[in-house]
Amino acid sequence: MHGASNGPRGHLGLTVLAGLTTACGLASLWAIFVHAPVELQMGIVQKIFYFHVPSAYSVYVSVVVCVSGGVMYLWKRGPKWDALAVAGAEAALFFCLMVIITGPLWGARAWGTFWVWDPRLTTFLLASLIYTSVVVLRSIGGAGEAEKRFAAGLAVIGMPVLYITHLSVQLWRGQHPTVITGRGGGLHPDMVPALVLSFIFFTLLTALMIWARARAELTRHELEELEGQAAELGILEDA
Amino acid sequence: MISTCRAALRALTLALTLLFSVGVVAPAFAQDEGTTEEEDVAESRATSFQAVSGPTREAMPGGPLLLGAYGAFMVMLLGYVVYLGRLQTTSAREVARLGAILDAHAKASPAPADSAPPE
Repeated sequence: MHGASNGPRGHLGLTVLAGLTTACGLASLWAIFVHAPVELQMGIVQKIFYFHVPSAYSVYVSVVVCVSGGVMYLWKRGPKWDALAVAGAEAALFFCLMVIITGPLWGARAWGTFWVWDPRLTTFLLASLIYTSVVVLRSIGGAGEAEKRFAAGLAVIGMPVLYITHLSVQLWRGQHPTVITGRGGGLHPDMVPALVLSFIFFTLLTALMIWARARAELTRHELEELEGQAAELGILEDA
Repeated sequence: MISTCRAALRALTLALTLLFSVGVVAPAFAQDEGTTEEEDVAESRATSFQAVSGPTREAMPGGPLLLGAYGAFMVMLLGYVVYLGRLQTTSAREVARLGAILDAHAKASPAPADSAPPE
């Protein structure tokens, strides 16, 4: 009982995507450390920017996937939507941790401090805690229907918080800079290829992580169904 | 499967601890008020101004910070890939094993009698 994502074609697609992601990752590292120049005022630590900003973008993408899966699960109840929600939540947590680790390391040099209770940082930390709760709930709460629905609802609640994070630099004064703006961004032209490659790499990486995790979750769902059948037949203790 | 869940739980507990630690420890780093020399308690005043010795901003070398950021990314990515690989492998193995057991049980079970026995 394998779906398209778990069959041989799904495995091939995942392998191709993994290869593309690896190649793009290596290219972006080359662009960051070889092609892009060192920034005048911050020095070499500015290169954290090329992973920090795409990580934040990946958080948004992952949250959209998680919320979409959660909403569809609340509506239609299919295992594939639940798998998508779980995969999106875990990817969102991964990239949230990336942002929270790389940002303070950059801030230690750029601002002279690891952390400030800036509106963007504070709201992002809140959103991170919400998606941490979603992942923890699904990991230790079991696969019961109530847990799935509660986690889906929690994921939906986290999305407005993330949207507020995105708007925070425009709504409130703070220390977090806005480098990429509607006017094109304050980047030296030689820095643009590194940033573009990083964005492509993180897009592919997000897709790969979500696909692989959803595939694993569908396999786990299949296992639970087989365990249910074995229990009904009374042969689970022999299994 | 249980050991994988436990490992995931440990990892997530660590992540939660890290996140909460940022909230707890951050105020200690948020404000750098400089250093003060030892003074007699009676002589120190809340309104006195002390000169800050050394730079007013943290003088942290950028190289280790950069290595730390990219290193953390690589380590976390590798850890997640290992976790996913083990989850998928364990689940797929259990599916195959249970599937084989159920197939064997289906073949071994007698077929239900649909027609009346001959007289």
